[in-house]
Amino acid sequence: MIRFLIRRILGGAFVVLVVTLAVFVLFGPVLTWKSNISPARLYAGKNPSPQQIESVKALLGLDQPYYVQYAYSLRRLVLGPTQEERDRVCPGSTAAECDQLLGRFGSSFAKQRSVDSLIWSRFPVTLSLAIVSALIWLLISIPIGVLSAIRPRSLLDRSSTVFVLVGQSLPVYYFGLLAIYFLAYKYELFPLSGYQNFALSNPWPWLYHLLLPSTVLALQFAAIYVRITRSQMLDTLNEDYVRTARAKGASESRVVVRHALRNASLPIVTMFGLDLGLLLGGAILIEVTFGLQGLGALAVEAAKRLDVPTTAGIVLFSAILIVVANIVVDVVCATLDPRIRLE
Amino acid sequence: MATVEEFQDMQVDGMVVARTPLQLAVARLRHDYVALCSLLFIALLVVFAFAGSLFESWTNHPVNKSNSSGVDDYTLLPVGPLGGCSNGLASVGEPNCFVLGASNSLGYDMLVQLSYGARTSLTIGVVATILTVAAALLLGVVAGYVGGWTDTTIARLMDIVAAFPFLLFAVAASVAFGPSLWFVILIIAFFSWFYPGRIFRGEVLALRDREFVTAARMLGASNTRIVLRHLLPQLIGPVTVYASLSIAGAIAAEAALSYLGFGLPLEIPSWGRMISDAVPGGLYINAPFLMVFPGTLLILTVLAFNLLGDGLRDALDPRGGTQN
Repeated sequence: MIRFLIRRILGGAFVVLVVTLAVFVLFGPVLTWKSNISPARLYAGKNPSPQQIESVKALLGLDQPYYVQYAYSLRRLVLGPTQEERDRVCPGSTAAECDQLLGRFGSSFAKQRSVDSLIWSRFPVTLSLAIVSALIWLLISIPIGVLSAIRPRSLLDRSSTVFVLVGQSLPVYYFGLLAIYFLAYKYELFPLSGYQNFALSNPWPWLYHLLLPSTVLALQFAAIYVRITRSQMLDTLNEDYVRTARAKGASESRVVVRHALRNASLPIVTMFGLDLGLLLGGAILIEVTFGLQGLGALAVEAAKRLDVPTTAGIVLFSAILIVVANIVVDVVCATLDPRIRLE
Repeated sequence: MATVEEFQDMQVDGMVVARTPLQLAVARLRHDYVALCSLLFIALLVVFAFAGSLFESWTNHPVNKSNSSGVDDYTLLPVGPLGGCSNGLASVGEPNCFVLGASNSLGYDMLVQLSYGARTSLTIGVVATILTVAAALLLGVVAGYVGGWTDTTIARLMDIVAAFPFLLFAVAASVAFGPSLWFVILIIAFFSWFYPGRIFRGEVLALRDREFVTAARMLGASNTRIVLRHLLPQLIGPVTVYASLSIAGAIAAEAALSYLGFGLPLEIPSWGRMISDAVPGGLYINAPFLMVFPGTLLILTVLAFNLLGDGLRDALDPRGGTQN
């Protein structure tokens, strides 16, 4: 198990390394070459003089060759900013003050803040959205999937097939706009947009603001999960051990839940972990459509303002989340099914 | 599903006539009304896309040109819906009615924009799919046929690409590359080849050790010949199915990217951008048709290509696949 874990973590670290390289190439050489924009000019503000640009280059370390810059940014990502870099970017301030300005992901061009603090300030919104919608889609899709597998070609099964097809083809933002128009504007059941912070004393405003965006997001995922649950259940219900369970007199609900669903759940767990990792990096379309100030909305905002470090930081952050989710899923699956480790 | 009709089709004057797999597939597809409707819709869409310049000359509303009569001077809302003939400044011989009764918020004619948007969607869908399928075939077949280290490397590559959030990366990359049609096509192809690639790899892996391959090798066929003449023809079925599904995916991806305001330059009309143009200031609350026209067309188009793909899968491989 330990060897399996180490191999997975090394593999994940390699993927993150590839992503850092890709992001660096994209926002270093490619940006300068394709769009003729240098990050130093963006940072220096409107109509900077050549001297200003030079001083910004020195400040950000952009006067170094690309490979040195890459090595520095990699080192900062792993170990945090060095003392020398702190002195350069925020001279004369304490370490705590400087952390507000310069983090592992660098500092934002558009706001006088570190990308880290921006990311962490937006993360709760994205996290809430992901959790609520994950709950909704699991609660919808697994019962529907199981029921339509038990009774194939029934009315429920056929309507769920239609639901799957339509759900997969529906652009989530258009569906979201329609939901806002009908449910929030016309019938005033939900707020038009926005987010309320979670409060333990009264979680209702938080949930109330999240319910519509989460449901819209959940319906899209639910379509895929219904399909997977149904096909997995159809496969397992034909297994010998299910017949054995029936033969020894287990009740139908026990056969379906304990014997079939449990064995069918592995691919669902795998997919759920990966989707959750993906969502935690920002549900861009939903956040933009519903005016939720999450990571995805921040990425779009930053990209429109050419705030390069923030955009790059979010891409890296979400890539790390996905890799972590992958490792967690692998470990969970290996615990549930020991045969996987041998492979 | 070999139906009774199919069996009856085979018997001509009491004689059993041999059918090629293609004939069988076409026969099955002819009974699949959902797939036929999708095909009809796609054909109509192609006609609609080609009619763009016709609409332009017909309505006298060039694409991407604001028409002053299209926006109400007082409310600043587009005229319409469905009755939006303004009695304004039209000179003689210049039709001033908006055919769908609507312009968009900028005074662009909806019908012309929709038609050019269809052109954009179909172009991107088809070109991105050609690239996707080509890359998927190349890497999938090589991985499946060669095996060993090559296979491991390519399979890892597929896992890496599969793990990435397409939209976030596309947004970031479009900042670096700047807006262009080719950028959109390439980024979509780059993030979609892995899925059909895995399927093709699996198919080749299953075919590689079959008797007819061994027989060909025993007769002295080279690897190139085995792949091109014996393996590739077996993949025509999956290629057709995934091409159709991939067109749907590419069209949806382009619309999502345009909705966010990235990817395509502003002078190329896009359904996704038409939807997002309806959002600022809650415009669509007062004029929902602004997003309903492009939104409905987008849903129907994506649905049609998805349904066609499913229909093709049933027709080409009737034994399995529908469950998944």
